Amino acid sequence: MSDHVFHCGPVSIAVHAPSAPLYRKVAEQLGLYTVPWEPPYLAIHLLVRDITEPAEDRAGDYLQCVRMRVDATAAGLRATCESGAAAAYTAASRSWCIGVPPRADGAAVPDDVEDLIGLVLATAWREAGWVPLHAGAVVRKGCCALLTAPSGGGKTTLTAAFVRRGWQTLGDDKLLVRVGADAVPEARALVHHCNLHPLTRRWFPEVGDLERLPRYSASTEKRKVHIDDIWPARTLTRGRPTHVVHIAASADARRLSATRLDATEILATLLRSTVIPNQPAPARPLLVTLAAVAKQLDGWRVDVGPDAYAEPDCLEPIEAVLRGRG
Amino acid sequence: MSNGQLPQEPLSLRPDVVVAVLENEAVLLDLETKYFYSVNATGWAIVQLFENGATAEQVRTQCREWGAPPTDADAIAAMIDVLARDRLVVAGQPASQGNVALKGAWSTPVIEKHKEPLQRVMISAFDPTMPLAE
Repeated sequence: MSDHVFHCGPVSIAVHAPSAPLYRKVAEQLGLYTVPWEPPYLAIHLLVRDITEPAEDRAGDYLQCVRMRVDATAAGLRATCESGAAAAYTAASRSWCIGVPPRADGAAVPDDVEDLIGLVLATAWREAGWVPLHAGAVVRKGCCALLTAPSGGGKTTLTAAFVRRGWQTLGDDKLLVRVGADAVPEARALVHHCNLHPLTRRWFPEVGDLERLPRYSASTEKRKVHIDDIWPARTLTRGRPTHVVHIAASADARRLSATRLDATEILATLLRSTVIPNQPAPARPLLVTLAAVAKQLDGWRVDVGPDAYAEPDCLEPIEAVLRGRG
Repeated sequence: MSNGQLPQEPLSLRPDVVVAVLENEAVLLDLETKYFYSVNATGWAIVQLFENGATAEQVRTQCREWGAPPTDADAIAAMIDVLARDRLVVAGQPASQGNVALKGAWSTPVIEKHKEPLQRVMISAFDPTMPLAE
C-alpha cells in the first residue's frame, strides 16, 4: 500500500494505492511534472485499486478518445478504457477512483490507465483555472512563441533548434495558459523533459547517443531527456505569449519558411491545441480563454522541410518575424 | 432552412453552442459539430437577440431600429439563414431574457464559418491531435 502527494503544476494529488504495481504506474505518470509551482494548489484525491471485473463501456458524451470514453454524470465524470480500466470522479469532493481489472499473472498494468491519469490531470488543471495546451514555447527578449503541431509534427525538434540558438523554453509539448485579471496572457511550464528521436543527432550532435536511453514508450523510438542535461540553463517556468507558430511539413527538403496567419487561423490553431469537452460548462471557459489569448498573438505558419535543420541558419526566417514583435 | 423562407417560429441559441465575446465581436463553437464561427459586432448583436428568443421578423425589425439600411436586408437574412441552417439557433426556450444593445454604429452583419471542424476524437484527455507517422 502506498500513499503519496504529487504536485503537478497548480494541483496536488493525494494518491492512495493499495497495490504496488498500480502505485508504480501512477507514480511514473504523476512524477513527470517536476517543474515547481508555488502554492496554493487545488487538492485532488486519487484512489487506485484493483477491481474484479472490467467496467462497462461509456458512450463518450463528454469526451471521446482513441482508447477512452468519458461521460458526464450527476456527480461528475465516468470513464472507461479499452482494457476495462475505469475511473469515476466525484466533483463535490474532488475525488477520483481508478479501477483496474484483473490481469494475467505477471502482466503489466495496461497502458491505457495512463489515459485515465491524464484525464485526472486535465480535469484538475481546468478546475484550477488553466487551459492545458498541447504546445511547446520558446522565449527570448520579450518574445514568447507558442509552438503547435500534431503529435509527431516537429514541436520538439523546432524547440531544440531554437534552444541551440540561445532561446529558452517552457517545454516542448505541455503548457498551461490563462488570461490574468489584467487581461495579460500567461503560459506556465509543467515538464522540462522532451522526447527526442535519436536521429536528431545528425542535426544536433550535442544530444549524443540517445539510443543508450530507454524508449519512453513501446510505440516510438523517441527517448526522454531533460532539456537542461543537453542545453544547460535553457529552461524557464513562465512566459507571456506574444506569438503562435504552427509547424507544417514542407516538401522542400532544406527549407524553412514562414507565412503569416490571420486572426481566424490563430484562433483555430489554439483551439486545435487543446481538448475541448463536449459539454458547455467546461467548454465555455476554454473557448473564452483561448479567444482572449488569440487576440493578443501574432501568428505564423512555419513550413519545415525534412532536412531543413541541416542548414546552420535555418531558423533565420522565423527568428526575423519573431524579432519584429519582441 | 435554405429554401428562401426564413423560419417563422421563435428561435433561440442551442444550449450546446458556446460563445466567447471579445470586445464587440464573438466566437461561437458548436459542440455537436465542432465547427466554430466568428461574428462581427452587428452579428453578435443579432446572436444575442436569439439568445433571448426571437423570430426572424423580430430580428429584422430590431436591425432596422439599429440603423440597418435596406441594402443590408439580404445580409441580415443570410446571417439568420446560416444560424438556422446550421442549427445554431433552434425552436425552444431562450436561455436568457433582456434588452440587447448594438455597441457602436451599424455595420453589415458578418458570420464566418471556419473551414474545418475541430477534432471529435482525441488522442487523450490532453492531446487533441491524431499523431503523424514518425
